[in-house]
Amino acid sequence: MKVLIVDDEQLARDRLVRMLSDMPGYEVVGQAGNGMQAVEKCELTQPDVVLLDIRMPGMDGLEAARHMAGMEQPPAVVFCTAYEEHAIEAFKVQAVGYLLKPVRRDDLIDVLGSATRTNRAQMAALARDEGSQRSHISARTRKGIELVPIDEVRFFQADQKYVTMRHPGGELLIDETLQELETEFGGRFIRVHRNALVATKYIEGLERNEEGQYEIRLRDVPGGIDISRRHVSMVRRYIQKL
Amino acid sequence: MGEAVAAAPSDQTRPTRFVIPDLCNAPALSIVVLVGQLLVLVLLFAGGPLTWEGLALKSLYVQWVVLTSAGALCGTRRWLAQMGLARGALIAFVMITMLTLAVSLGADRVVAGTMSYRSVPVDWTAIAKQFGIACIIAGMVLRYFYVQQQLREQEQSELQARIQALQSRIRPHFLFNSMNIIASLIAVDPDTAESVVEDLSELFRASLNDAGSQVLLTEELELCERYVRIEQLRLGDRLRLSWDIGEYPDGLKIPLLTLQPLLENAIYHGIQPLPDGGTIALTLRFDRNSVHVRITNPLPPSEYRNQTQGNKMAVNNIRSRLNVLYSNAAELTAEAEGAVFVTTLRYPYREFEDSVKEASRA
Repeated sequence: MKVLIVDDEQLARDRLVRMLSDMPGYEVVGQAGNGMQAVEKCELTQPDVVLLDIRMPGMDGLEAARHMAGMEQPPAVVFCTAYEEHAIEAFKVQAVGYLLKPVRRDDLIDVLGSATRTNRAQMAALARDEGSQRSHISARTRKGIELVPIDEVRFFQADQKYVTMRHPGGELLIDETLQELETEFGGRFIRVHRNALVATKYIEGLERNEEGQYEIRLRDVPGGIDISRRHVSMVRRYIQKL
Repeated sequence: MGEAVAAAPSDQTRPTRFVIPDLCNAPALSIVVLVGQLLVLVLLFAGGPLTWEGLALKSLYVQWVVLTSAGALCGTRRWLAQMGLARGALIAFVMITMLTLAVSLGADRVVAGTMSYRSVPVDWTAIAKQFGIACIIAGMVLRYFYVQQQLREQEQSELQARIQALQSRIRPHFLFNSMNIIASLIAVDPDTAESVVEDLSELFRASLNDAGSQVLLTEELELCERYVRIEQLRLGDRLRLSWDIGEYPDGLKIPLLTLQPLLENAIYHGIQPLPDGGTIALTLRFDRNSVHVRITNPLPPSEYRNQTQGNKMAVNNIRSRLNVLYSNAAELTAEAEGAVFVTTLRYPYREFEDSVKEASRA
């Protein structure tokens, strides 16, 4: 069984490596010190199970697990925590494996034996419980998982089947609904149309095109994004407040 | 008033908490004399001719009663305190009224101008009146002392409760992380593991110590070093420190666990969320009448910040504690200044603080 160890503390990683080296049938295929690295290493090494610390600088464990759950072959995830009362409650509810630090040998054996793959719904529910926002949005591309900082996203737009995410590097298709995104990033994005969420920090202005259709202009985005009649007054009020 | 404050810690035998205050000192005695003189005026206005002679005679009489009573209470206070509240107060009452009776009988002879009871008989009506007044006033005074003592005790217990509630606690996260460090080190580096156990024990001992107590600044700084040593093991080179401790007098004190929680806060909010870490700077300066401490940490971008509530809890907690100890003379501020977060602490250099410690120990 291939194991990826993720913790921002070297000493904590060392200990897990040492414990696993005594256990037959397990192979440590990689280590990572934060969530971003973890997602990258996870793609690279395709582990069966990830031992994932929750509290890490940059991207935390909960978010990394969400991105991992979106992979083609998502690993089983076991969260490690020193003391996180709320999270532990949520893990129980979502039936997600977890270990308490300092990790006991017996617990490690048990949890690795029973670790199962987590799915997106479980991970999203966990994040909701924690009230945390992701720092990145992940998209599955041919190259693998691509992570885009939420700060750089200009807008999300839905067509019949997919949601498109626009960022400086281009456009990516993501597997989430506008409704979910709006709930999670309420303050940062505003709904301008049934099919569009735009980043408030990139709004430049509101204008009317030749056909009389209201459009919103965003920084670094050529052309405007349609505002539906239903949303015009709300968007206008929002812009006036800026 | 305020014996608990005045009591020197070495003088354990002196009863400090008895219903009758300690009258064996000049300030207390002058208040007794003043109150006695006010009583004279009351008696003078209430009846008899308003003459200088009347004032002088009544003053002489009342001050005799008041001063002999004060002397008697001063001398027997320790003994009375051992009697318990009810018996002690009763004996004090009897003492005061008997002294009044004796002084009245003496005064009666002075006024009569002769020791011969046959030529001028004792004015028993006057003496009975004086005795009555003495009983009423002694009762009122004892009652006043009792109420005042109750009030003081209540204030002290409230103060103690407040300080205890504000006692600095070790964050559970820190405890379990430290335990994890020890577990990690024990097999590969037992010596370091041992020193972590020692450092952790000292920190725990300090957090269990008397809330509101003062320690030498040197000791608090040592605690900070122990704390930082543990965090350094955990965070490695992500945690960089720059300490600048100026000169300060050897006896300089600080409320226990004031700097350590501020450092902990700086690391928790300023270093931990940053993948590459940063520098914590601690500057300490002492001038003739106050101590200035400044702690800075990097301000992580909003998306990296710890989302946990209660960011300000530690700071508010310390601020309240300082308030209890120094009223408004100490100041703690915490605010962002550009890319860094700055916490400043200023507190006065004084040697009065033992009072609170005494109060909380009593």
